[in-house]
Amino acid sequence: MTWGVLNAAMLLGVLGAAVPVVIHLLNRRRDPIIEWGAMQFLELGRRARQKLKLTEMLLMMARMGLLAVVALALARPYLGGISGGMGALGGGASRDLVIVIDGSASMGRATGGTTARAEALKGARQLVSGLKAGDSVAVLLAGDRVRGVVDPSSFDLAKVDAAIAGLAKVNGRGSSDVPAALAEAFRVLERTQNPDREVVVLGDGQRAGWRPGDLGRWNLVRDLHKRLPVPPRVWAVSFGGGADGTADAPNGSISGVKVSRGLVTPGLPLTVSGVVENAGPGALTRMAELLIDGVPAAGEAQVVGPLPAGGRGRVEFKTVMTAAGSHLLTIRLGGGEDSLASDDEGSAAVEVAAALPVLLVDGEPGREPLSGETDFLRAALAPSGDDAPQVQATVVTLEGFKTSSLQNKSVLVLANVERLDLDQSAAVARFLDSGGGVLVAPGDRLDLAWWNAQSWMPAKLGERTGDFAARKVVAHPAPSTFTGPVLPPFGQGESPAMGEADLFAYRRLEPVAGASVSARLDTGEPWVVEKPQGRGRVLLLAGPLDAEGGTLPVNPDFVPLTHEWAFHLAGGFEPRAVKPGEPLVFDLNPLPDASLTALAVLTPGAERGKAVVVRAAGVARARFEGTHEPGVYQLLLPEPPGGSAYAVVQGDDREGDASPLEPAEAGKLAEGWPLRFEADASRLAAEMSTAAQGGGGGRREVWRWLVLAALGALCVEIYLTRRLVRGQGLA
Amino acid sequence: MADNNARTPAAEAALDPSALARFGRLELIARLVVEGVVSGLHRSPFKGFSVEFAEHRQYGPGDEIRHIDWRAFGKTDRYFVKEYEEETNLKAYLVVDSSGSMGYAGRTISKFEYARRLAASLAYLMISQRDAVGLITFDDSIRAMIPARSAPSHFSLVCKALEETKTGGETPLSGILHALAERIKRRGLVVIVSDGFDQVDELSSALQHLRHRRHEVLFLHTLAPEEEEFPFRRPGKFRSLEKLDHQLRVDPNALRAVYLERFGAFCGTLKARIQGMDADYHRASTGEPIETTLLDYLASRSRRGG
Repeated sequence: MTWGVLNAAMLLGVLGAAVPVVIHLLNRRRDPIIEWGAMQFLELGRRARQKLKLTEMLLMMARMGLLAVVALALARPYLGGISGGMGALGGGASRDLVIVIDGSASMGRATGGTTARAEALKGARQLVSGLKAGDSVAVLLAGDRVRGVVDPSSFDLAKVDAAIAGLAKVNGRGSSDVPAALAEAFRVLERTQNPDREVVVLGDGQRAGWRPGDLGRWNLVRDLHKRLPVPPRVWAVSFGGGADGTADAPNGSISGVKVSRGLVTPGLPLTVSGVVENAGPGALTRMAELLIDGVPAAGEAQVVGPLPAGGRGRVEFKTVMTAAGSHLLTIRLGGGEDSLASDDEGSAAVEVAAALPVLLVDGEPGREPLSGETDFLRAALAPSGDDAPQVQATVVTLEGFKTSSLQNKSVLVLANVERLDLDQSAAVARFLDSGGGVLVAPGDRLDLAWWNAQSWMPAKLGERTGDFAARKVVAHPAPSTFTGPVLPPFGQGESPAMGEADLFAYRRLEPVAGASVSARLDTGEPWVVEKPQGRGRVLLLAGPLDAEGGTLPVNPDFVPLTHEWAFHLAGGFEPRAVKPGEPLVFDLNPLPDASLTALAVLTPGAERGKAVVVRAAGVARARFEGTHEPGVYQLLLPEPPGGSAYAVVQGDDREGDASPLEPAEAGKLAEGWPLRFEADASRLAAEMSTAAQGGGGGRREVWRWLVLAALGALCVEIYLTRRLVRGQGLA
Repeated sequence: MADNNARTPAAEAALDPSALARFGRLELIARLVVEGVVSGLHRSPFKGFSVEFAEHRQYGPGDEIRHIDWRAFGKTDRYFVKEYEEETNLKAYLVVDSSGSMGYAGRTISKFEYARRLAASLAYLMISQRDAVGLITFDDSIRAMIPARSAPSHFSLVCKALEETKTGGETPLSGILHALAERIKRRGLVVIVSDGFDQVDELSSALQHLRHRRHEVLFLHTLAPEEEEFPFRRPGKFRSLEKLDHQLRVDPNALRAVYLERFGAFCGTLKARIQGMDADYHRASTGEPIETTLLDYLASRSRRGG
């Protein structure tokens, strides 16, 4: 016979049994002294005194017993491995059941006219119908994130049944995470009360969901299991035919859809790529087409394949966006039978800006044409005469640089700026936090101490090499050292043009922690140092970008390089890769009406969610927390101008791997704790009831006995108190 | 005193001796108590034994009508009272118990203080009626015996002796009473103010001894309300006022019933024994104003026809 308690914390209450003793001792110490004359009436005979002492002793024991028994009853002790008799009074073996349903995409695979999901839901409803009053059920949907369908546990079995039935309409997406789902199930069971507890995982036995390689997480799950007051038994049942079922049906999938840049301007070429996989048995040939905002792009269909079984192929589309705003680029596979439709398309979001707004702060404006600090740069970014420039450059002097100048700008260039005043530097810090990019090109007017005190600077500015006035070449960029996302293309070839650029003077840069050197000079000193700051980036050059500092402005690669830098620095405004469970944040531009507090979001499952509008320092953002599943989330923007903003939550690529959990792996997972893989779903109920009878099952709570004992102790206490007060037997 | 009177209603001051206690000495208290009491009496409840005529005296309040000399009235149109030899009606001896247990003071003044004031009041009352009053003080044995006199100055002497007496020790009252019975030759009134916490048998035998000597005995049983009710709730250490090293830890709740039963039995027995020997027993609870106690006693004595 085993025993335990369901609410161990209450055992501390047993210490309460000491309360009468403590009260007695405390009172004894504080006993008042009464000077008394009529002593002879207080004196008792030895016998009477002993009798009184005995009664008092019994009374104290009764009180201690009463407290101890009540505390013990509250701790809800149970006895295991008993049946009938005492157990019957104990209140039956009520149980808490947590049903974990695999919510991954593979559960929707059609085999034999049905899907694993339908089978699993049927099994779940059968389990619920087999429960009796007093049993509780919780239902969790295991996707990339675990979602509570019925959480916390409910005793309303009809409600639970309806909730499970409602899941039939939900299409699974992404992969599942069984260890996380089990941890969540254990969390649910922490708050339940019944002495018998069970967790049933209903899935398709896909290896990816079970994550047998994550030994650390499985150890954690075992540990969590062990720590529960009543460790539950865990059952795993797989539906959908397992290994042989998956092998029959052809299945192509597309994953890892990417765009070459997340922020573009109309007319800027863009590459959309994805990986096609063949999980089916035979060779696979499919048509891949590109959809822009759900509409097939004309003439953008490609044939993929034939791919051998288990093979992969890359598919790539080049396109140009025409309209500004947020757009969704989707690659869809078609033209063939597919057993699992949900993984046949993949998407990526792209932000199209009318023209990239760049603010140039000229620290040394020139009187002659092209003698200013930013004249070449402005000419390179937005050539005069271009009707639709990709960059919209605005030049201000240092004095003209106001807090409001940064409104709606994506990139800020500080060229030969001596120092910023307090307002300006605070505005720069805010700009970086909100995703803006800053390019710093130091010249001859430099307040070194001020610049080196700025925490957002990627490097400390050191001594100067060379002299601007002397116009003597002291260094060239070294193309072989070009790294990072922007520079490498400019270092390719036998004699890259960049290597020919002369520098007349430069500052020594000492990168700070977190910064990276994107390029060096042929002297070995850093030329370009970059550092992420807030949501944005800062790029620091060793020298200026004007003709005074060298021949860079007349270099053939100067124009493309400045454009690339500008788009790179504006990257803080690109749609970011978000994983399930992470919040989606959309920048709202133009600012919405002040009364707007929430916007609607369409989730991949076509449900409507709510994104909260957050405002701070002249910016407004919509924040959406409910990213439970991977896929495309569409934020409906307020009118005017209306439209949508898209974000793609990245799924787990492992879902494409349809292979089932190997028996050896299952055996290893089940080691050392009561996890059982049940191949035959129809036998589950019987197995569960057998397990409940034997082994650690058959638990009966004994609190009713303790309540009876407490009542008994109470009666004894009352009797003894009355006896004492009446002085019976003492006279 | 005037201030206090101005602040408190005069009637209340007269009825509540504990309020008067603030004003000063025992003598004064006794006077005030008695002034209040006498006005409530029609005649002196005490009477003497001598029959030898001595002289006439002007009738005063408290004198018995039967002692008015009607002949003298016929001659003079004034009331005269016949006075008898020795100027006294009565020789009274006051015995105030000063054993340790009398020192008990609960929420009222101590039993001894109460007994002292009561005795002083009686002394004043009697002396004002020209009765002779004596006082016996004692520790282990009789320490001093102030002989019975009726002179008004004698009252101060009695009060002084009472004021000087302190409580303490464990003096068996019975022994003192036996000794007293031997020492008082002339029959008189022996007033015992005591809680009687002694062996009932011995005490009653001593009282019997006094009765045997044909003394009239008045036992004023002085008790504190706490002793009568035992109102204690919390357990406490009860330390004897007589034997200082003797203390008992008592849970009043457990012992109350026994205590009250025993105490009641003790009081009942004592009262029955005293009344059985044709002596006076009167309960003098410290919870009652002395005036009330005195008035009650005198009234009951008058009812019985002296």
